Amino acid sequence: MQIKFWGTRGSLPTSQDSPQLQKKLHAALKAANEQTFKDDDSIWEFINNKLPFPVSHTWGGNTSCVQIIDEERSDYLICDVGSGARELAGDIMQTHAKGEKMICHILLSHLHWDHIMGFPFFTPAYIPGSEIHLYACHEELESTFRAQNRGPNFPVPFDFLGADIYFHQLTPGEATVIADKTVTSVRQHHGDDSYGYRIEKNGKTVVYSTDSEHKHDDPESLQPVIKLFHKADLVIFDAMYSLADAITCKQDWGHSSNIMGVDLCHLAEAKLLCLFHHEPVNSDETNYRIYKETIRYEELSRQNHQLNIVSAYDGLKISL
Amino acid sequence: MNISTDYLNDTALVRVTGRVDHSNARDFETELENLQHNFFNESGKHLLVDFTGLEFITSAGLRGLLFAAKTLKAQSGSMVIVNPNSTVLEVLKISRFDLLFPIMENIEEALKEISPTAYETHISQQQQI
Repeated sequence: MQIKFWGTRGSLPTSQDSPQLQKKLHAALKAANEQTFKDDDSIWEFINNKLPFPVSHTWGGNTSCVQIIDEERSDYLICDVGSGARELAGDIMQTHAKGEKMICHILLSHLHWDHIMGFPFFTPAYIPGSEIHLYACHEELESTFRAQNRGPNFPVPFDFLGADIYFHQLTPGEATVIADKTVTSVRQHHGDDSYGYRIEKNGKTVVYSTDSEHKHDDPESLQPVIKLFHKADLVIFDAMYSLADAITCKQDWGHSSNIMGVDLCHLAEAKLLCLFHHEPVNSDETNYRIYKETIRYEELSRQNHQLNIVSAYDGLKISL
Repeated sequence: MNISTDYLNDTALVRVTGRVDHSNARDFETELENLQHNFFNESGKHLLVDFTGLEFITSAGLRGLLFAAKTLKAQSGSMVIVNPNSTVLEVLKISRFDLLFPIMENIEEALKEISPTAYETHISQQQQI
């Protein structure tokens, strides 16, 4: 399995502005320190290997959209269709085998705007003969998507979409097979409810657990989450706030922290924690600092089990 | 984890040693809840949490501190963390809890800051020892 991230921000898409870009250019030129580059390859070598990550890269600004790639299959499995779904659609249209039926399976963690806003721009939904399967535990799944593709909010009515679109209601806790993978959902603490998904195939497990506030108020309430994460190869985790914010001024806002992610993954013996759903106001430098701090907290808190850490950015690909 | 509490006029000095994590965080919270019922609801106003002997604290333990702080704030009291080791200090910074509570290097400095009467009592007790 490979996992590709097309959108990793929460709440609202964001983009870099000129001052932020110029700051990166300034840092890169300073790091180059008047050295000369003999050709393009040496410039790329410098960019990719000599510059700090927040200078040479960006976390990007699209909202949640994660693709689970199975090389044994030609259909697509996607978690959420935030604004990142637009770029995913572009990739699908460019790479999909000509003449082959396009089938997309989309798991929705919940129906908040930032997790569905990319669907009106998801090109496969417009292609006659394509199949789009939308899955959620929410009863309002179909009505929400229809409402999004309707005036005055969007000029293309839902019924004008060319694909065959199917809505599937999932039952929390019940395993089901989607795109040849076993998918189990667990209810999470978030406004209007959200659901985490455990996705398993051939001994590999990825957990998509975004928009979830994990609280220590009742330790028993953490048990379903620890079970959801149990020995997963990858846990994609909502680490939007600091722990201090998450349990004070942003309590009950429905999100968690990097510290909680490490603690839960240690308890669950997960292998790789992926920080996700970044606060849109976070700069690349801030996201990088949080990433390094999370690695350090894992080192300090580790007892028997080492947990690796990664911070999701738009374009990141992870192989399991 | 071990917890002991001394009372200095309007200030409770709680000494925490060992490790506070998900396995015992509830005990830590219970101790602080007992302080609320037995001391802060009566004459107590301030809480000093002495982390000198604390090896490590996780998110579960940090939450317990918050409970006490909220109670004291409502009563115009205060809470100070004293002498965390470098590891615990890192955790306080990474979690941004260092922005929520003052952190001081020793008990005397903290007492002088939050309660002069408790400071006098503490000094007097030290001299008797």
